[in-house]
Amino acid sequence: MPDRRLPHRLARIACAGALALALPLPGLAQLLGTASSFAVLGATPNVTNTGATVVSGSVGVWPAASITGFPPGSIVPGSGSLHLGDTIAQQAQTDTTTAYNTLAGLSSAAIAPALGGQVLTPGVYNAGAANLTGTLTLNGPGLYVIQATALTTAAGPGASRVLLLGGASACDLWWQIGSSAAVGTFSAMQGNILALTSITLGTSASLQGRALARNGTVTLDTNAVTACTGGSTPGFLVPALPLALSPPEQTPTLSEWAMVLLAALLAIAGYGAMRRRAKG
Amino acid sequence: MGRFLASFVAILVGLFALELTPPLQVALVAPWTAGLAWLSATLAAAVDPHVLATGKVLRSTTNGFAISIEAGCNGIEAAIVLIAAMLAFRAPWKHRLLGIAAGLAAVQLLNVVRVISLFYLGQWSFAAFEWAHLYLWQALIMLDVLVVWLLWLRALPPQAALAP
Repeated sequence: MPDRRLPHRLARIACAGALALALPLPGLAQLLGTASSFAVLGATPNVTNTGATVVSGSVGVWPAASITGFPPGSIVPGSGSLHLGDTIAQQAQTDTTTAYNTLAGLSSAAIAPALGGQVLTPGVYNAGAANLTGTLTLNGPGLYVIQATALTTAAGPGASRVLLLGGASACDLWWQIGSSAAVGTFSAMQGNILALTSITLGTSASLQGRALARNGTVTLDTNAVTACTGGSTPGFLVPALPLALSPPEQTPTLSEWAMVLLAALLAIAGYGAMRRRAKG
Repeated sequence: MGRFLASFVAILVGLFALELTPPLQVALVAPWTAGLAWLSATLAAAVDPHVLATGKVLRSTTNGFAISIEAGCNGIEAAIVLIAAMLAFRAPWKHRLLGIAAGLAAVQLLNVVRVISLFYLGQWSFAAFEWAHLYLWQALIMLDVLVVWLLWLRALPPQAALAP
């Protein structure tokens, strides 16, 4: 039985070392400042929602003071509150601008704008007018920054998603969008989206991260937006309870010892059956 | 008999190594996990209008409790152990394929029940959720696999009927 955590541990050690050399970004952990408590932040004219959206984290808007659709939208109790044009939202917008400019100022490697099918390791990338159809895979622990002039993701169940492998975390994924981001219906999106203008989440899309729009609106429609925690950019309480895996802290359907025990039981039963059949 | 044990271990290691490769994770494991999430959410939403399913996350709209169905929740590892045993045991291929199909169905059906039960158990008591997740359901999944294995062994034709 192979140690299923070993590749992740080795990758983590190797990538952590490489990351320390390649990405001198010690400030990213505190990059968002007060905006880290927001899952959704808009500017003007408003933040709008349709349907039973559930947000884990605060929802705010500034300089406008209009948030519509809460309810039926809701904020997970204890995770945050609504901030309509108040000083907290104002400070969060200031911090979002700082974070946006920091991300935009990073030197990056160019990648194809068609993100589907690409497998990335930690680093800073520039995708131009990015679009995601299919699966973008992030492999390995560390920081991922994707700069783009715009971002769209394909609509439809299973049409677009970000897959995190080998210890990659949604908390460590940053989207710096030079105009607007449109996440398609049913998309499974990950990471902190910082857009210059607006952000739209299509019907039933999910976002494990944040939607922070500097100058425009954030539009929601029956979404689950969960500000992440952990990784290199700790956030705050996330009530979503992982059922399993993603080593080392989570628990799979069968633990490693349970699988060893199960294999042993099957082997013993099989051995006994062979003996009976040989006698019979 | 030693050949059975050696084959079992070799196939087991091979299948686990294969499962961990990124191409198979992308092509099979991730879609399988998403399918499990979809099926669990669809079944739960059929009887409970307060269930919101987005991607791999099931969330209660009444109290915000949510579970995220991750790669290791999909029962594939348990199925791999059973498949390896069936491939290693001397049996006609027809029986092997039928056994693998039945085993996959049994593990996956029980896993759907597991996911839905944990979703509601967690809303009632987090301590109960932890206990069931860590101990009860692991034991039940193991028992499920063991029962399928024993039934399959009983259903095999007599050794004399097998080709030498």
